[in-house]
Amino acid sequence: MKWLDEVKVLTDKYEAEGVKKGAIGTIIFAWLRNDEYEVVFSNKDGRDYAEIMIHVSDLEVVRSSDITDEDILEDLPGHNPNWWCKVEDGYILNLKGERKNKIPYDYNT
Amino acid sequence: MFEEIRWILDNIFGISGNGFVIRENISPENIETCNGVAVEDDKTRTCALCVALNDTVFRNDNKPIYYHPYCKCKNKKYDLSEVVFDFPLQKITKYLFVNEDKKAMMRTMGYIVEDANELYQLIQSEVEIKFLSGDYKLKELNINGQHFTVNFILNGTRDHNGEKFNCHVGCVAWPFGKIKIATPLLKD
Repeated sequence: MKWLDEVKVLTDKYEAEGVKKGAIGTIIFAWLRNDEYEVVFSNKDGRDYAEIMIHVSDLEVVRSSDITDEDILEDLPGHNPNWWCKVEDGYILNLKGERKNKIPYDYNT
Repeated sequence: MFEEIRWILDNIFGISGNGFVIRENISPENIETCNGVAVEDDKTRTCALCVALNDTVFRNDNKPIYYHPYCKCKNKKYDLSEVVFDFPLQKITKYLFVNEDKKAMMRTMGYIVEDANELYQLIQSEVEIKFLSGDYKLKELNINGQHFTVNFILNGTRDHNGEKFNCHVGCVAWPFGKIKIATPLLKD
């Protein structure tokens, strides 16, 4: 999971913010903050109806973007490769390949 | 009370003309040093929103008027002749022309992915011209910064040649005239 991937929301806990379970949106910024991505949701006419922070554990990739690590680095604050920005096999990673969590899918470890 | 009145007089009415002003306070932090999420600066006792506005540049006649009692922010005249963008091309090439809904929106105006570079340049050009002329709408101020939109008319192309479309771009003000493009293009 990474910048500009299309992702599906796996829970109904964002309904108060206008995003239903099953909604599909796009990760609009490369960075993670507090293990959350900023995701934008659009109607069929292309108009956005929500842009909210969603925890990585509440998202599933439905279409992977062909964004490269170089592209991601360009969008990271300060172009800093230490910034957490990807999720692979249950691990939150930075561009150096370092893991934030010790146990896969347990993002608090 | 008197502090508030003085702040308003000094900072809202104190500078005349349509030039640019920079909002400054004593904190060394701003939205850029905070990596896009402003937090209160305990050392200088500067609130998060004043940190978010610190060093931002706006036209004097169209600037944020956020203030609070004992606010330490000051507006000063600033010479801004060009803006700098934080706007990755990928937001056009790998989002606007990839996401099915966005792609369909672009197609209603005749645009396809081959137009990405031209559109990218056009968006930057329109935003710069409108910003420098003060033709932007201030939106929400939050810990992610002062948001604003720039409206412009996009000429249709291909099968929509000759048509005109009202569009807008969502932006966030970063320090010293830097503009972060948040929403690359929306048809109104």
